[in-house]
Amino acid sequence: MNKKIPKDYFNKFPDRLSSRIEALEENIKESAPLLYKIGKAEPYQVPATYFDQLKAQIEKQTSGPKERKIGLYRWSSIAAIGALLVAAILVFSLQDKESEDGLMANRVIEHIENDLDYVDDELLYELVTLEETEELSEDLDLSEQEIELYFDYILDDMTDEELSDLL
Amino acid sequence: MPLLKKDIDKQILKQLESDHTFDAGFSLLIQTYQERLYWHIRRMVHLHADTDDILQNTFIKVFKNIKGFRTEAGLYTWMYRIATNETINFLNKKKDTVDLKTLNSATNQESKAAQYFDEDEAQILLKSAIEELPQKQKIIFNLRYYDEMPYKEMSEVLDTSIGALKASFHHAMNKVEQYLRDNYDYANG
Repeated sequence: MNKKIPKDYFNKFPDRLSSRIEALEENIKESAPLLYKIGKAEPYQVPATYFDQLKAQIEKQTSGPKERKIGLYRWSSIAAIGALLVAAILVFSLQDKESEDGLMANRVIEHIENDLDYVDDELLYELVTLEETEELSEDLDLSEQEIELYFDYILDDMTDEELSDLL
Repeated sequence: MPLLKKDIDKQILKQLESDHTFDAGFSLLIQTYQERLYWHIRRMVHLHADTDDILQNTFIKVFKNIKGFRTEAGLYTWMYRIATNETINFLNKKKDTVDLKTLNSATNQESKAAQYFDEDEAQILLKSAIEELPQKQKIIFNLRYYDEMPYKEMSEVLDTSIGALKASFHHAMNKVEQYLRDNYDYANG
């Protein structure tokens, strides 16, 4: 007696059974006649050339090198934060020297708070020269890499708006 | 059909592997999936403008992450997953779900402004019925009913067991039918 079964019968059996069960479970015509009657047509329309344009639009957005808008903010912010750190060190050293009344230090802080808006970017860049960064690292006992990491840490948590405000 | 889809995915992924053919591959990817993903999103957010935003974000996310895409996972299900997450994030940001009033208002506005909407009361009623479903049930209903996505793929997209998906679709279908029964006054017509 020849008992041949089709090739891959048992491999395909679970999928075939599953499809039949799904179809039985979802006999929409019987279990949801109104849904079946309404059908699957979409009530929405799409602008005629939308899909042709979409492809071009996405390709436009994804092609070419991305502008690093944050770049300017980042460097300006590094400069600004660096300037603040230098100023802070200066204030502390002044506080030591003028420890009797601390008036000078207060005036420097007041100046930073009130007049920072008037400090332009160029001045900020000048304030954070490599030399000063080295001095800063010596004063704080930090390596350049550590200072850079510190700036990154601060800047990563700041939004574009906050950076703009800072500048 | 599934074999064809698999073959296209294979072709897309092969083209995306090389810098020389990357653009052609990405172009084929958009061409292949834009309409399916568009409707998947639009059924959730309704308005064309919102759908357009989410769809573009989806493709940009795909573009940014395609290098890290694991080929053993289906490209199709991976993109549906991104589109679904983008849509859910959008809806969560909006906070309030779109109710029938908003839906009618929005669709009327669109129909008047640009004739993007076919005046079909039964279809609007069905959309309203679907809108009554909880968010996840709505996604499940749309994927199964409109996209006819197999449960196995739905399971990958939504990270939910097949059994739970079947049960959820069954409940959703019953709720939709009940809503239609309650509101479809010309049911016998």
